[in-house]
Amino acid sequence: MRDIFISNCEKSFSNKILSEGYRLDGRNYNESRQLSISFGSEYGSCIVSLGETKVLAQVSCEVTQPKQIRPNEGILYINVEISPMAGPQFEANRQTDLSVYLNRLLEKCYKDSKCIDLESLCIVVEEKVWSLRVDIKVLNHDGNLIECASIATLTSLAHFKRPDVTRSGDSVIIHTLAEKDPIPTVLFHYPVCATFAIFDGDILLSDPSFFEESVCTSSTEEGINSGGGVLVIGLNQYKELCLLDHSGAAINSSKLVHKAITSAADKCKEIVDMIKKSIVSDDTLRQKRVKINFADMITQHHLLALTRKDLNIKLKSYNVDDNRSEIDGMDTDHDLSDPEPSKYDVVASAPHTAEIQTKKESSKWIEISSDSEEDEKE
Amino acid sequence: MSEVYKLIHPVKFFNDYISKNVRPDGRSFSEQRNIKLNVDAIKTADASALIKCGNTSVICGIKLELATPKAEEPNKGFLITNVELPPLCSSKYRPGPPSDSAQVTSNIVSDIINNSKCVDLTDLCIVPDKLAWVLYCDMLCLDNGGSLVDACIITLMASLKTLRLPTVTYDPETEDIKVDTNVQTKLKLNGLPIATSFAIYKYMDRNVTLVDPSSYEEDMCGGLGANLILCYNKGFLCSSQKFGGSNFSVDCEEKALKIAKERAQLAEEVIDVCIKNYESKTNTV
Amino acid sequence: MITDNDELKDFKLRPMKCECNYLNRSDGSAILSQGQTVAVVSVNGPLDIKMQSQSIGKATLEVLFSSKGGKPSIGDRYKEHVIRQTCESAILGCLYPRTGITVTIQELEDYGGFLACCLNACCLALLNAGLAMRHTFAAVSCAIDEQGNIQLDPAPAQLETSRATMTFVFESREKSLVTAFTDGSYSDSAYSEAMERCRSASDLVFQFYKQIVSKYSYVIG
Repeated sequence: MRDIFISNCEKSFSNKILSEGYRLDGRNYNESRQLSISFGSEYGSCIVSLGETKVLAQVSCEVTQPKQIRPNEGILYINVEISPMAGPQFEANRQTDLSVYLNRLLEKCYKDSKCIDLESLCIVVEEKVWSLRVDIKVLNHDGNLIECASIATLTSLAHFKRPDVTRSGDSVIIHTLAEKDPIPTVLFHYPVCATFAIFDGDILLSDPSFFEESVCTSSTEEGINSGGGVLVIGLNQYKELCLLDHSGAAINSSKLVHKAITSAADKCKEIVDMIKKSIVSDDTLRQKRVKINFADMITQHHLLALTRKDLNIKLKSYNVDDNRSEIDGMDTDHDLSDPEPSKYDVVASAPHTAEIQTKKESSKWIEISSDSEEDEKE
Repeated sequence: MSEVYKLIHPVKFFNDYISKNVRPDGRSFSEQRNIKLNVDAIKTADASALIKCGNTSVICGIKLELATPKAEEPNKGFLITNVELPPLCSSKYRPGPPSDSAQVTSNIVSDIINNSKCVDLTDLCIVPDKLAWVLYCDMLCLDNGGSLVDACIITLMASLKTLRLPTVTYDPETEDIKVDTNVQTKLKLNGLPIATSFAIYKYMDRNVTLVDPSSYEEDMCGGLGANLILCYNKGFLCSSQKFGGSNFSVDCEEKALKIAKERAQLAEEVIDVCIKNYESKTNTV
Repeated sequence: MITDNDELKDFKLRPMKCECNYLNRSDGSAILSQGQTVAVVSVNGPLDIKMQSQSIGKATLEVLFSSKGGKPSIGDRYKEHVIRQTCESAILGCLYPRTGITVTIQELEDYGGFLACCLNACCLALLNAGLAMRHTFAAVSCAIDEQGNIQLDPAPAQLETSRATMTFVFESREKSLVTAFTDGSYSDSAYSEAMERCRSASDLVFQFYKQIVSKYSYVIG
C-alpha cells in the first residue's frame, strides 16, 4: 500500500477548526453522511453508499459438506477485497492490513455474534449444508469503510434468498427460482457497526471522512499521537453490544466510550430500520415484477451523466445464408484453392511422424551487414 | 555485427527487413514454418503427440479417467484442456502458479475446442448420471517460439485422433465397473479445427500481416502472443480473436482469412498423413 | 448467398446510460449501463510503481477485472487480457515513462454483451482521467441466430437462440479493427458482414462519447 501523506498545516488546520466546533464538510460532530442503498437484479446484491464511500456486496451460496465439529450447521464466509478501484494508494492482488482488519471486524460482527441461523442452512446432517459467501468489494474509499461495509453485509444477507431444496431419499433436488419461490435467510438480530473518530481524547466525530480518519490516526510532528483514535461499536436493533474495537491512543475516561455507545445505539437502530424499509420496498417492487437493476442507480440529470435511449441506425437488411450443407462448403473451398499450387510438401518421414516442408529452397534471406548500414548513414 | 545492430536499433533492424519484403528468419510474409508432427510420443499416456513448428515445440498427453457426470448435465462427459508454460520454454516465464499468459492461452484453446464442437461430449458418456469419461488433455510447451495456439491445437487434435476408448461395462445393480482394454473404439471427431496465428505490423502506412510469427516477431508487433488467431473447422470459422498489434483494415482481413483456410487444409493433411503412417506401422507390428 | 434487399431497416442498440466521475477517489471513473448490463471502471495513473515493473519506454498498464462474487477464474484473466490489449493500443503510453496506469473493472450486472460494455466503460473512464490517447474505441457486440440474421447488441433472450456471438472493437479515427473475439462457429461471409454492421453501429457509441464529453467540457469552458 502506498502511503498517503497529510501536511502539517492541513493537520493543524483541521485540529483547530474541530476544537472550535466545526468539521471540514460542515457537518455537526454527531451528523452522518447520507446513506443510500440500491439493489441489483439478483437476490443478495447491493451497493451501499455512505457519502462518497461506496461498497458492493454480493451473497452467493453453494451446497458443501459441513465442518466435522458442526455437522448440523451451514457455513458463513466473508471475503473483503480492496482493489485499486477504492483509491490510488491500494495495490492489486495484495492483502493490506486494512482489508484483513476489515475482514476480521465483519466476521466478529456477523459470524461471532450468531446473527444468522446457521442451523436452518442444513440440508442433510453431516453431508450437505448451504455455504453462504459474502463478497465485499470496496468501490470507493472515502472514509468510514467499516460502517459502510457492515451495512452492505447486513443488507445483502437480509436481502438474499437461497433456492429451495427437496429431499427425496438420498438425492437432493435444488429448485431453480422459476420452479419454487426461494427462501430468505433467517436473521436473529441485525447488528451494524458505527465508527467514531476521537480527537484530543474528548471529541467524538461520528462517520469520519477519509481525511478525518487519516488525521486522527496519524502522529504529530514530535511522533506522539495526541489522543486521537478510531472507535468501532457494533450494536443490534435491540441496542445490544456485539462488537467493540478501538485503535489509536489510549482513552483516558470511560465516559467517552459510554457516550459513544449511547449515541451509536440510536444511530444503529435508525440504520437497521432503514435497511428493513428498503428491503420491504424492494420486495414489493419485485412482486409487481418491476425489473430492478444497478442501472437505476445512474443519475439522470447530472452534468457528467448522459442517457440515450434512441440508439438507432439504418442498415441494409441482410441475411447470411449459413445453412448450406457443410459438404458443399468443403467443395467450394477445394475449388477455390486448387488453382494455386501448394508451396508445401507433406511427407511421412520417421515412424509415427509427418512433416510439412517448403517445396523449393526459395530462401529470400538478405544479410544486412553493418558495413552497408554505416554507408547509408554517411 | 547484425546482432549488435539488432540490439542498438531494434525497431530499425526489423523495419529494414520488412521494407525488403522479407522477415528476419528469411521467410516471406505469408510463408509458414515447417511442421514436424509425431504421434504416440509418450507411451504412458493414453494418447499423445509432439509437434515442432519452427522453434515452437509442444507436447500433448491425454489421460483417461472415469467419473460421475455433473448433475446438471447427466449425459455428458468431460474434456478438460490445460496449457502449461514452464520456465524452460522461454525466459519470459517464472516458476510458480500458472502465469497470466498460460491462463489466457488455456482459455483460448478450450474455447476453440468447445466452439468447434469437434468432440461431442455426449459420446463420452457411458451410463447417464452414473459414469462418463474424463479426458485430461495436458499440453506442455517445451519451447515457445511463437504461434503457440496453432501448435497446441494441432497436437491436441492429433492426440484426440489417436485416442482409443476402452470398452466399459457397468452393472447397475452391483455398481461394478469392468474395463476391457482389448476392445477399443476410436473417439468420434466432428471435423478438425486448425488455428492460424498472425502478427500484424504497421510499416510506414501499410499493414503487414506475418503468418505463423516467431516469438521475436510477436514481441516486435507489441502483443502478448500473436495478434490475430483464426480457426477453421470444416470450412467454417470457429474462432477469431484479435488483440493488440496494428489496427486492421478490410483487405488485410480477407487475405488473412484465405491464408488461414489454406493452412487449415495443409495442417489437416499433415495430421492425416501422420496418423496413416502411425496406423500402418502399428498394424504391421 | 446474400439476399439482396435494398430497403433499409432500423437497427437498435440497447439504451446507454453513463455517469462519469462516479468514484471520487479515482483519477477517472465511469459507470455505464447498456440495457441491463452494467459495469463500473476506475482509472488511476500515471502513478509511482515498483522499480522492477517500471519500463523506460512507456507506462506500465495494469488491468484488473473483478467479478461480482466467487473466486477468480481463468475467464477473468482472459477478460483482463482483452481489455489490456485494447487499452494498450489506445493509450499514448510513451508520454508517461516509468509510471504505472491501473485500470480496474468491476462487474455489476451481466445481461449479454458484458465485455463490450466493460470496454466502452473503460474508454469513458480513460477519457475522464484525461490520459493522452491515440484514439478512442467503441465495442459493439452482435449475435447470429439460426436463420442467419445478425442482431446488434443482443439481449439475453436473443443470446439463447443464437449460434454465434461476436464482439468487435473499432478505433475512432479510421474505424479500423482494434480487437475482436467470437464465440460459436459461423461462415466467412457472416463474419465479414457482422463486422461491417458493427463498424457502422460503432458510430452511435462514438456519438455517445462525443455528447457526454461536450456536455461537460462546455461548462468547464
